[in-house]
Amino acid sequence: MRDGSVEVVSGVQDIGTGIRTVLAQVVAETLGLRPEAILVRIGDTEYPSGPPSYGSRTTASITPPARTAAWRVLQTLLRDAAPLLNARAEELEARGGRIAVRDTPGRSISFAEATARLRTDRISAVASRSDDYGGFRRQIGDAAIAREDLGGVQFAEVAVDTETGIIRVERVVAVQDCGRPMNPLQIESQVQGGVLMGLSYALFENRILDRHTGHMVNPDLEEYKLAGVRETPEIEVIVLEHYQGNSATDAYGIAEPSNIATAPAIANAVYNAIGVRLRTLPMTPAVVLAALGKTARREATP
Amino acid sequence: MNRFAYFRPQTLAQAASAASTTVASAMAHPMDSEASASATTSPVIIKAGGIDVLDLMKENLLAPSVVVSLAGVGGMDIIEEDADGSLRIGSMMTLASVGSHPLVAKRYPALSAALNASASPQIRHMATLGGNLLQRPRCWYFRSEAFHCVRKGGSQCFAIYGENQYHAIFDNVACAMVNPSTAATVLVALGGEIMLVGGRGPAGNVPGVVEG
Repeated sequence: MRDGSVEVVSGVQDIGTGIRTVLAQVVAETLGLRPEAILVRIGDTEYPSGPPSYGSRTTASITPPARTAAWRVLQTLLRDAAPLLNARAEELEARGGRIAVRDTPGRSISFAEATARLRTDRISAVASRSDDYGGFRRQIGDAAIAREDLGGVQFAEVAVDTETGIIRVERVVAVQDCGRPMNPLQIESQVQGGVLMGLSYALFENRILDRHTGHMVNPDLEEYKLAGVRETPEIEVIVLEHYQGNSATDAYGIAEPSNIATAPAIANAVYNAIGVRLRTLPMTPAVVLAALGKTARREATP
Repeated sequence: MNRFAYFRPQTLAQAASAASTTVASAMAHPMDSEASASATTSPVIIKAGGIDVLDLMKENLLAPSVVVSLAGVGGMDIIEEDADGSLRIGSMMTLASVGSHPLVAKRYPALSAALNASASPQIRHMATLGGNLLQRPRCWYFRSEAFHCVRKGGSQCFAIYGENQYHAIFDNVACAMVNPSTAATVLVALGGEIMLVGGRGPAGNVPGVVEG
């Protein structure tokens, strides 16, 4: 805008996973501004369509077009600002809130001074994921978001009470590849969430069906046990940076991949602890005691 | 949830004359048995903290035409010490306020411990001791609209031959559900008595804790 403000507009939604922040970061980097200077408008069907917030694809799908659009806007801005600095547009860069002549400290104007001299009230550009790097199509189908897949590995440390059958997960170490980490704090939070959900279905979550009618008898949060604060282990997240040239931002999804390895890691740790393989989830105290031969196997796995 | 009228009496006598039945008997003897398999139509229900009554209503298990709130009745949220050293606890006291009361902690630490470990902090600050004792059981068949069990006017207990890992292992011939009240267990162990005020007779003391 002529007043120096910057808006990102997309129909993508933020379901708590932080795409609003990431979009501001990506656009701010390209325009040489602080993320807090970017107004992100999302979650409205009037806006250009964005990806759905599922399938671990939001960041991977919407940050490349955001970066491309920001780059296009910047080219117009530099073109309009070039005469003010007696330079050619190609010699200019946006950095630290200023438009500067590259390699010539001192010859610069602020971002707002540059936008004040725009030929139009605003510069806008629209970009699409398919604009860059051939989009997200690849040979195996249209749904893929990456040229290569992600990898991750997790380790679990557990304590098993062989008298009560209670498994306590003491610690989980999650090593996760996520392409280019866009926001380390958010990535760590997402991986912690994935680990917690994996722990929850490894040990607690269980649909109990009435054997005669098939009705689920515990369809509420009173009876359907979820992991809570007391069951939360120490979670250590290690993020691997792995650049594959997948898109303009090289971002990948992180949510579901971090959920995959937790239950197997816990099950393997339980095996190492008690020497018996548990082959059903959830690994409840009844399942543990039955595996240890300490009780008649009764309704442990409905 | 169905429509219902809301009545907030100021005195115990008004409340007692307004309420015609208990939640338990209203659910066990539905007036309109042609209605849905389990939603119970009943005329007047008393509500204290509302933790269980509102759940039952939202789950379509209870459909009162009038809800009588005890929130406006004074004098039911205090603890008094009798001459013999026993405590008289108002039924409208919350679990949190009974659990943290110094006299209770000193005289009956088991009651304090049990109440402070009940449910969650939010519920403990809303639920009353009276409502806690009168809450309906947490049997998942009882709590499911899909099962018209003996406690809801049906003819059988589904838990006896069904999913019963959390049910009674003794005295379960007619119904296998267990009393869900943490306070009830302790009060029975302590030899507690309940003082009732009813519309059908004078106030009296009932030894022990009545059925769940």
